[in-house]
Amino acid sequence: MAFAKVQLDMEEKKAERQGFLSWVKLRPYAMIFPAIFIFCLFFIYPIGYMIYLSFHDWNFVSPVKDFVGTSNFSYLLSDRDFREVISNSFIYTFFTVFLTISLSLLLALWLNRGGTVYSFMQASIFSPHIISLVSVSMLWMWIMDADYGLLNWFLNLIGMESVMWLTSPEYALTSLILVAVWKGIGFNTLVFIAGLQSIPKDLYEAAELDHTPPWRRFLKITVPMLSPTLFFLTIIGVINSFQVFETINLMTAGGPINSTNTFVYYIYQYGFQFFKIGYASAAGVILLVILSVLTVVYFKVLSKRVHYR
Amino acid sequence: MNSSPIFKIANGIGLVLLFIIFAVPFVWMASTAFKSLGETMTFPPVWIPETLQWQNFVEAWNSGPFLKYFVNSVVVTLLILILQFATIIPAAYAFARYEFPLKNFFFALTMICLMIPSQLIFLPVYLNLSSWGILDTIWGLILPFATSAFGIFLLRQSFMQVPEELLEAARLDDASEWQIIRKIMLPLAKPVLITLALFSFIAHWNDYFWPLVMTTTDQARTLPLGIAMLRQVEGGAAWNVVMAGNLLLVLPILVIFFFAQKHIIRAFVYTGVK
Amino acid sequence: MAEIRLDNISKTFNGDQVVKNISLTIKDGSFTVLVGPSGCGKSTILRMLAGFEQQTEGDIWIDGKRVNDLAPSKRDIAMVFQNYALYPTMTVKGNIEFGLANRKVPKKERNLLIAEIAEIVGLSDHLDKKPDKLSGGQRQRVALARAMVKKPKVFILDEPLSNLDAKLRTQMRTELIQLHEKLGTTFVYVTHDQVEAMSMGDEIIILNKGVVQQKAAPIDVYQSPGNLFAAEFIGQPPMNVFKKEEFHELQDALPEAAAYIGFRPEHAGLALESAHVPHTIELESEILTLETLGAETVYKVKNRVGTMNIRSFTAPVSKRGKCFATIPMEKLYAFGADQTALPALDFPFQKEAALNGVR
Repeated sequence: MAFAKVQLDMEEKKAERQGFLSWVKLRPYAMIFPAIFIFCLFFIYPIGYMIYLSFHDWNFVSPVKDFVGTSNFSYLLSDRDFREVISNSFIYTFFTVFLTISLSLLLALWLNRGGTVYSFMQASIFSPHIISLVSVSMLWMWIMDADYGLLNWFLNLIGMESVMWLTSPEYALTSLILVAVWKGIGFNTLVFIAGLQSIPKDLYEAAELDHTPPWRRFLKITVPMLSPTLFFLTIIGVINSFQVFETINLMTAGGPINSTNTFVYYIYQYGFQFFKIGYASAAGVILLVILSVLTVVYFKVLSKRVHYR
Repeated sequence: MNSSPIFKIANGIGLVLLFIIFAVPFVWMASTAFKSLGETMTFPPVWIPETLQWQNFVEAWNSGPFLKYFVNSVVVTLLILILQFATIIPAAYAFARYEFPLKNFFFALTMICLMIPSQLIFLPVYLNLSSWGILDTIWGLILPFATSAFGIFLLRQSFMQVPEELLEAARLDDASEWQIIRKIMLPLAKPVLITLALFSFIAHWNDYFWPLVMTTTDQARTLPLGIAMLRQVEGGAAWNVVMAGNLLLVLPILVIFFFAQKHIIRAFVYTGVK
Repeated sequence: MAEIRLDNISKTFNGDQVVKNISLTIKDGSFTVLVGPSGCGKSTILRMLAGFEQQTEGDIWIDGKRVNDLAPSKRDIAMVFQNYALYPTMTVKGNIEFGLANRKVPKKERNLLIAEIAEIVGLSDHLDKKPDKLSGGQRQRVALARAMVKKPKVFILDEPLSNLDAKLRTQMRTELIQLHEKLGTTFVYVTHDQVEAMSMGDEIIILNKGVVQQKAAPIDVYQSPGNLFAAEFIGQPPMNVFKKEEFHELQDALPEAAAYIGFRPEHAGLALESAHVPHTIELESEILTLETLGAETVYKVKNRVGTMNIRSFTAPVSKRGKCFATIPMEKLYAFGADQTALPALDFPFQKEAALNGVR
């Protein structure tokens, strides 16, 4: 038997074993290599490098990086500015996500209808989502201009006092939240609408046959069926809001008096303005931990949900 | 739904208000872009400028090397797009269609990279780029985005949906793996490819953060940076020029959105739902 | 044209042996049908034959050549898939042409071949359409054309008719038989449908749990099933089978080895009155259901032996109620305790009849 196996189709098998077969084995790796290489170079390695730097003191130019243990972290935790950064980040994230989600859910229930008017409205509220944050920031700086801005003109029109939107510590963070909500609401609304449309119609028909009042239908069918979408949008919103940078850099530069300083901007400042690479890296590691926890929670809940079905 | 006249009127007013909230800022931008400097400093504001100040655009364009910015933007966006397709397609195919040792490990690695935002790692990447000497070049803006974990994930999904028999039929038809990808897989994945292209284009055309961090001189700066710098050039007061520049940045995207509205919305929402 | 030989083929998936040491020869130019219930291993055999799966053990020979290590495209086979597997983004012409182009057949020759094949399967008017614009039958024809155009030694067809509606299925059955006659190539046809197996194959291989149950011409499988499985699998409704003990009036006449007794539904009769025909078992029965199918009627009746199907072309009884089921003794089949068929029963009266020259 073994002899017969060797004997037949020798040439063809030889060719396949030597050239073809080994290439078949290598091919998948060759195909994923470029992507994996880039990932390692620009994502995996930098993460490791950042963790390494967070335990060192370095000013960018000095040839030595002094190992300082966890003192960068203890410095950060005792730094009043950094504690403010954390609280700003949480306030910004909470209100941005809460307002965006609740308003866009209402908008979705309202605008989830056929017809030209409604699809036009959907497109209109979506449009800020694809505009550069630079444009959005510039536009809103101008609209929120304390002297000649449109927003104060409108407030005066309805009999209210002008507000120092971006230049007063009380209002600056609120202003940034407003801009974020304005930009993000369209995307969230449309995802909610997609979620609403994926709820099977027969569920509502069955409920109607049972004489279920509309508000109960909303609570018992719409809300549970929409909860995966709600969860997805919340997590994505939280993750994105934690990384807010562009509007802060352009509109307030973290001020006034640190009132709008958040994580990424803080890292940016310490890295590129104060050249404290160690502190900046330590702050980055803390952000990494927060984002990782959020991501893990997301997948945990997601897998549970899949399990339920 | 309630269809009483009062409800209809309230609904209509609501729609108009909503439209105002989202459209008026753009109208305001356009209006300001044509104003004279004096007209931007009146209160209450003027909506229609007395004469259309076209020279605002010229002034914005001439306030910096805008041609350079524009060319950089185009080159960076296009090269990212090309490189992404070149790396995503084979990787997605390998992950979707081959079994090989450590496949799950490499895919997990890809998924981790999907979760890592550039805002988190800009500092160490900056240091690396600097030590490799490609800081402040367009390569520093391109290479980190030469592949896309999101793209691999999405395209792999699409490739996995192709029934196995189709590939078997093609193998019986003497098709090489490359021919299978080119003639069967890619045509079937066309909607996903368009989605990815739109995504990538919009994200990198608009990107402000990465060029801000990775460039220090005009030789590698892109359009969003140029626009952002308009504000500083004039000491922050020449809103008419700033808005003119802004309009130049927004217009291409808005025009694309106008024509490919349905497709763009579907792309963003579909990937959002997934 | 080619003979196919499987030598001690086994296939194990995750420790589960789905094909168990099968050896068989498929004759050159035959229309061989692999038939069996789902999970019997027929598709696995097919896929090993095509080269999509590697057998765990054994050798496969096509046309005297061992193909164990040959890639599917090098085996000189063509396949029609269950769901046709047409390339959805290519036109009909593109679908047929793809394999030729990959084999570097010159353009001119390609066009000639395509025109010829399209003519044979009647697709000449649809060459520029995409598959999603075609009806089920047309898609089927494209799949056939795509396979035929390569002029393979072996045609493999994997349940090709299962996605068609009943009427089209009958029509395509005839067309496939004619096609086989025209081409004269070896056809290996997999199905779970015993009607297709009986009507199309000139040889049937019945499989169950990875083992060949019987390999024979359709009529032989029907008339002398090799074992209980074959007996119950072929025939609609299936053969009625009972434990030997239920037929106590036969005990003395049956061979010692017999454990089961069976008879085909159409061999039994039904009457309202008892007739006492000699050499016939008569059972007082009650009709449970009757299905009137037009030409024939299928009765399900209950009696002391058990529940049995009786198929009749004359509809002797038209409503439910009491009646008499009659089973001619000469039509009985006997099976041993291991479920294999025993030699045809011979009752003393048959010998007498033979001697008397009555038959």
